[in-house]
Amino acid sequence: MSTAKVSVHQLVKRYGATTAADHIDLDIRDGEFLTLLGSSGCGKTTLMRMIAGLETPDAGVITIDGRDVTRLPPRQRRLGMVFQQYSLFPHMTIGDNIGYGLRAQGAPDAEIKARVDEMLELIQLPQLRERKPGQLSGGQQQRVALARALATRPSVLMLDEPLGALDLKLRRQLQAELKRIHRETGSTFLFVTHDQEEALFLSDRIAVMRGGRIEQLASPQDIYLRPASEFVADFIGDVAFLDGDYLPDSRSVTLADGARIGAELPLRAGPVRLAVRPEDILLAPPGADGVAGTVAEVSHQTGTTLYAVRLAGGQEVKVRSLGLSAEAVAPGQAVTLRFADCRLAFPR
Amino acid sequence: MSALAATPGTPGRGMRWLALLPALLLVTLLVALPLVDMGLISFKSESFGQIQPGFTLANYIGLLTGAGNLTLFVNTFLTAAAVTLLSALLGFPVAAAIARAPEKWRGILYFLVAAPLLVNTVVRSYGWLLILGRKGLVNEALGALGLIDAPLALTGNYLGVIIGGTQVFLPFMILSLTTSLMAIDRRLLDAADILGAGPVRAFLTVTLPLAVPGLIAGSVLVFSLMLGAFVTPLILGGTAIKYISVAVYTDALVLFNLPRATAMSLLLMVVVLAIYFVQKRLTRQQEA
Amino acid sequence: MQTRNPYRTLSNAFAALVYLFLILPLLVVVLFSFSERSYFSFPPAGFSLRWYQAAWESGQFLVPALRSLWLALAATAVAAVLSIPAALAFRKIAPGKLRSALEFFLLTPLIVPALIIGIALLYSFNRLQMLDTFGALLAAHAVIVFPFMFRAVLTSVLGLRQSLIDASEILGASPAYTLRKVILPALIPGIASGAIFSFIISLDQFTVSLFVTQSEQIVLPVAIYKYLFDVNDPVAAAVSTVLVVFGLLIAFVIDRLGWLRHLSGASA
Repeated sequence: MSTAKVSVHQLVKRYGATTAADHIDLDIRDGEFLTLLGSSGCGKTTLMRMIAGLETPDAGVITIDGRDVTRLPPRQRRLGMVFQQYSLFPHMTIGDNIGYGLRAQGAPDAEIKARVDEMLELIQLPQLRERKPGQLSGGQQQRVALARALATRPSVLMLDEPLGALDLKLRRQLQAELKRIHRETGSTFLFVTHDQEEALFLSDRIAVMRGGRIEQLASPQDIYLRPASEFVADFIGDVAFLDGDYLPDSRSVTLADGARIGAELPLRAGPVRLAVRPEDILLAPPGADGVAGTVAEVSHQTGTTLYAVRLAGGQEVKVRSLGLSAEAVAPGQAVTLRFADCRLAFPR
Repeated sequence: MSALAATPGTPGRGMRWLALLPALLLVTLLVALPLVDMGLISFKSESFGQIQPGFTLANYIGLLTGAGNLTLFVNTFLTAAAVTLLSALLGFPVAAAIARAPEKWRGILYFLVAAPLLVNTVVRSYGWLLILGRKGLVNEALGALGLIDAPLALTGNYLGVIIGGTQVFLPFMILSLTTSLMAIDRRLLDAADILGAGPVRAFLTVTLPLAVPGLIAGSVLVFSLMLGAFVTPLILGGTAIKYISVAVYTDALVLFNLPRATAMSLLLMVVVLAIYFVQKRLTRQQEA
Repeated sequence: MQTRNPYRTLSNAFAALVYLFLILPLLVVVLFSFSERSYFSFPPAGFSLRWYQAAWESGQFLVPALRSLWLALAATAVAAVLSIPAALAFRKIAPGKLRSALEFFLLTPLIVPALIIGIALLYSFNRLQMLDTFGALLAAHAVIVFPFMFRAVLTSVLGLRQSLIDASEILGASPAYTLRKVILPALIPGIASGAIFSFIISLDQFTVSLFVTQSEQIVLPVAIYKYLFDVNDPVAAAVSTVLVVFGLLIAFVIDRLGWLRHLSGASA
């Protein structure tokens, strides 16, 4: 699409025997927050670095704002980047760090000063202008890195796992910050992470990657509710896979042990693999209507209790119930599982 | 990926070699080429201070077979070996003291060992002249105490060179040994203690074997440095002793026999390089 | 807990003696320089500064001293200017046979004994009719201090964080701008430590200087040596004391900055 902010076409990158990018096609829309999500080695960082110009693709084309930048060095691509390891210039003040890009491009002093003020306002740290990076906390350094990258008004701001080095609470705070700044500036953000919750929270669209390819590119809701493959379903959130036979006439799937689960699937009759999320299952006393099982494990998480229940056929299913259970359901106890109508399955 | 690498649009490998060029030129023109030149000279003969055309092996043959020359090599090696041995004996207690010392003392102890290295060797040798000379410290003191009638000859001979050389190169041995000793886990010594080993036995069976790498490294370093030493033998030994570096100097600047001087130098260099490579091989095996 | 007390005290006492042994020649020289009499005597007799005055007035040492200082500065500068681009280029060469070979080659002035470098340069400079010139001296000193400077700078260069350089590139800086504003400031510790080492090494350098300069362009250590040949009064001691103090001062500075440990790897 020529209207895309960044367009990547058939990008290939190999390191020896490993293919880090396998003919990738991707369009990033103007103003969107797009996340590349995957575990290490899936190629997300390589893809970002190629767009940034820090790596050269073996084949393919990269366009930014309609310009072919494939052979251009990073400084001519008008981008911004925030790294995981901060990378603020240690011998310069915060103000000089933020103004670095504009100064390197020869902007007049007055303009630089105004822009630095603007950026400091944006990240809400105007009082730190004269400090050095060594005097700042991790969270503050990342915000300054963000300001520095945005100061040059880049076409795209790229963030390479920028919150990975921070503790959980700080990470949550900065995630909210990022979302706010994205909204206020209206810039295009390209985000890389392996943390699915982070991706779900921040993104307009997510590209789930594996083995140098994009498995699925969709909104967070679509990725969660309508994963395109078993890999994506398994990668995002908890999921239990139950194998059975789909009978469209009776709108149900029969499991190996004979138990039946209601299902409405856009598939034909035959063997299927159901993908069931914990919130789609209810825990009921034994003997009730549903699928019989035994509690294998109980674990408490913040705000919910997670049960691992083993079915008669041997499969294990995770069930989540809000709050800490009033009645103690202990491991070894028999329970019944009531499944909501299943809508997600993959043919086997 | 950087100012000097092959990102799209930046000059790559050519730039890299261009940046290396001046440094390479410096070493090539001032070390490599002159050494090669020198090598060539060693195969020539001279007469009345002029280099004669034509190649000959006479210099090398003379050096390796002439009786006087053999003494030269043997004496040089023995002197260097003596310095090495002395350095090891003197250096061990110091290294042990540093390794055992509490953290705050270690800095000063290190300093006192390393500081002399930054003082000119001429000055250091001069100091020894003052100490060992006929009217020097030692002789005056011994004379005043009535222990000797005539001054002892402590300079202008191998003894002076050995003493002076030890003082010059001892710090290298100490620093090397200290590294080794500090790497020894104290618990090994505690274990030996618990097992009933007396101090001497613990030293022989635990400390000494583990200090061997440092000892070898230090010895190799001191030996090869002493082989190539010039100032100390020159000032403390003079023309009375047979030492390779002094002989080279005499041949080159006094007798104007450049071919023989260069032949000797090359032989010396081959030995020093051989020692260097052997030591590298040893340390590499150690780390494996 | 310490069951080997007697041996330990013995060992420490011996160590103290060895320390004295290390310092002794320096002490003696310094003491002699203040002596009243013109010949060495023990115990030292009197205290006088006249040898320092004589050294200053004789003119025999002033010029070589200034020359040595100037030479040390110039050689250090040359070594720095050559080392920095070389080290930066090194960073981009993958570790392996080529890089080890190059590194070895650039460090050869450390391994080859000064005597041999002296002879080799004697012959080469003689052929080029460059003997006894300041240019020849500078070239010789530059190549001798180069490995020290190069090693120090290389350590700094290899410690450069790539993310800093990437960030600068993406922010729009040209390679030259990145070099000036990001890379060089990060190299200052390495350059400084290399410079201090190089300076003192050049100042102390005797052997090669002796071979390369005979009469015209002599340096301070050679001047002291020549003086020793002719006369044996404390003037040489006075000049030497200045060098001793200098050396110790610089050692102190290096120690404060934490680089003293680098000396043990002088030939490795």
